Amino acid sequence: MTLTEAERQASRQRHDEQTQLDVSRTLRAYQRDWFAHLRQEVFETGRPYVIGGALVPHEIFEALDLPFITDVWYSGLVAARRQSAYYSDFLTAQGFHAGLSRYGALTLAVLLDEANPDKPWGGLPKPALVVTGLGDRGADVLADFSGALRIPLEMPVVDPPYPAWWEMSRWQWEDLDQTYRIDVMLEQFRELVAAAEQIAGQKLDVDRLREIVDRVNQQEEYFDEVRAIIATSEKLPARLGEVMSQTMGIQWHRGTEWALNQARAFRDEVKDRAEQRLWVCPNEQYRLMYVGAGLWQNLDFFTEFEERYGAVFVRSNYLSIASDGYLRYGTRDPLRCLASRYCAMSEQMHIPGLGGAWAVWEARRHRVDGGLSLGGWWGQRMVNIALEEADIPVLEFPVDPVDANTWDDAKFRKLVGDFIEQRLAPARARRERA
Amino acid sequence: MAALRHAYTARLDLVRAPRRTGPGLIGVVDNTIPVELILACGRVPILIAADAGRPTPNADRYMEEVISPETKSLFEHACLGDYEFLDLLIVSRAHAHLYYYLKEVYRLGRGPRFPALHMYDLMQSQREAVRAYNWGRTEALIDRLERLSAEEITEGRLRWAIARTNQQRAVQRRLLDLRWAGHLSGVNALQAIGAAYFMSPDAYIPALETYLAEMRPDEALRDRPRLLVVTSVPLGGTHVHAALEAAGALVVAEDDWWGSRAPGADVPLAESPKEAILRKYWLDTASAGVYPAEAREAWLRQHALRPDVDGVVFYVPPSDRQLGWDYPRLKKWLDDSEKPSLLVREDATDPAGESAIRGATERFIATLPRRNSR
Repeated sequence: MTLTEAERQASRQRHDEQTQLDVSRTLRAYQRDWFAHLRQEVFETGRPYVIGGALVPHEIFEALDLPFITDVWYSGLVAARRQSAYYSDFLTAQGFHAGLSRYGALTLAVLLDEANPDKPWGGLPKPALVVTGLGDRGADVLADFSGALRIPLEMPVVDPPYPAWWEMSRWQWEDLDQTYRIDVMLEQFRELVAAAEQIAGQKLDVDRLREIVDRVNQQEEYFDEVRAIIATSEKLPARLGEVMSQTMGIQWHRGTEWALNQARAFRDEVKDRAEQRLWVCPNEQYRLMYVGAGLWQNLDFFTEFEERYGAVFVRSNYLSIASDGYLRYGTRDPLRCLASRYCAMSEQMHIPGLGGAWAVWEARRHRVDGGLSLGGWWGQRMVNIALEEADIPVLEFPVDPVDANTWDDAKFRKLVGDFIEQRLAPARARRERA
Repeated sequence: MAALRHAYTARLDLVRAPRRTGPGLIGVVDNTIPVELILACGRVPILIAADAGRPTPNADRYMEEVISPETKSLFEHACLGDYEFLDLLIVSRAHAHLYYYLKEVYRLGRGPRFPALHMYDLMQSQREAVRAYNWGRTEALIDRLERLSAEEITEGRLRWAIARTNQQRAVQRRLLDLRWAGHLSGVNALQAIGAAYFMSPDAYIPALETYLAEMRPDEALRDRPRLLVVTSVPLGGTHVHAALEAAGALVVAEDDWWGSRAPGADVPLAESPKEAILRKYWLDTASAGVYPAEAREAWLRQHALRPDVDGVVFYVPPSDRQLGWDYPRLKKWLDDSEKPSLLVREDATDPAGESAIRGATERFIATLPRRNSR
């Protein structure tokens, strides 16, 4: 069931009361205006826009003045609006069985559900171009339905996997990602550029693309600073739900002046809070990390554990990958830089060996007591094993990041409570003794 | 048929016999690895196949639910040392997850009985953008095989190997013709075709030729409703066909490399053999990774509307993560073409699932016009 307007207002009010960062409010206002503007331009002037996956070089579209929407982040909005169960059921009713991933597909559902006007930011117009991974058959459906051009991207297999990849990714990416693998991504990007140029009605200006890639690097550096502040401050200065939303909201618009300014303001505010010792939970006892996806469908769920146990979430993939995965210095050939970034983007968090090494490094850096691992992604067990073997307990949380049909409030409260009492406390005592 | 059935059911047991003599064996995980290159380096290719329904305790420790049962089964076998006798195991792009898990567990020192591995990352999308990459990966595989055998894979050796596999394809296509004529059951056809993955061409070709020569049409099959199977998982066993045929149907074809899609077209001998082999495995191989959909579904669209196909069965067990997105569109196409279809979501390797599939099929074929009345 989707929420009534009154329930939604109440939820919004609760959310506003818990909001601690000013940048959360400015982000929300910007997103709403940006979306209204997009809808107006697409519907009234026929301006083309792009829907794509998160693992797509948005910078190319930015350089061509093509608006871009990321399917999984829009799905996140649907989930945050508590409409994921409705749209998941809608897809099932259309013949797409419940075993198919809903993570990015709620965007498809919003498009297909033409009769229902109750959608995040008024719903989506039909895109002109759909760009996601080649195995994403839901995107094929979306492109067919919209009459859009479809460009798939295929990542080469990482062979051999190098566990400490984040040590090489910023400067030594040609070695890390291997020339032949970067070459095949580059060839696909050239195909993508040709399609995007056709839709945009203009040629790609490589100098402009380089400026955008450099601006993105600056933005990711601000994120890197935020991560360092969170990792090294005495206690947590900003609630993770807000940090995640801020990170992804800015990433959505990366390459723009607005995104760079917003990232700077984000860094400034978190830094200021840390300097003023404004902690999320003054009684902080346990520091937790998300392993894998965040709980987008219920970002406020863990707030109550702050009061009950002094437990805070300090780390998610979203902020950390922003610097370790996105940053690529040496932008003389900006398209090649991007090709390197997407050779293994996200895969490095999943591939056995790579995902585990990064999670353990991140956990130690953030002084984490335990992890929470949402189900449904490949490589999860190996990451969890790596953490457990480093004496960092992990709770496997059997819930879909966005599909509210998988939520059971009482069960999950007990699960988390038991985990803190029975696993975190003894492990921490053990570490302190050592 | 006995020799073929034995090879199909015994699988690796056939070649793993102690004190076995003869050329070395190289394992392949599916149909996207060019066996001609293996034959040309003096080795015999052998498929490693999943064991549906068997427990996988080692895999369950390292792998999560989203990993396919097939991958878990293959990993389990590797952990048990079942592939230790192979000179090399070549893993395909479709099995990249298997490769990554094997590499890491080996790195951790927990897979001491794993065979040597090689990743052959052939991208199946039919786009110019991936040609150079695919060519490079094929060259890298040739290089690995040459180092293994300490012999050059010459053009002459490749031509010999291509001739041998083309001969095998020709005999398999004769078998497929007899299937369309209703001479043999789908279960027998799967076994006769699938045996090729566990035998050398020298043993397989004469065995299949003998089977075809001795085959007499099975009269009991003549009036059965004829079904074509579309599957979301490779049909490494006969469970689905057994359930459908126990319900009174005859499976005449399946969109799967374990059956009707096994031979495809010949590898042309007129051009450069390396180029011809690459083109065959890149552009004429049944695989879920083929893109675009028009290419992936070309065979289905060519055969499903044949008048001698009475219905189409979509086998989409719970492990499916892809075909489900195509199903509504394909069903609509069949509906618009007035071709009846049935969707089955149960797992045929599970006895309860097999029973449910049989029941659903009985009800489905009862709705079809009688074959002898057409």
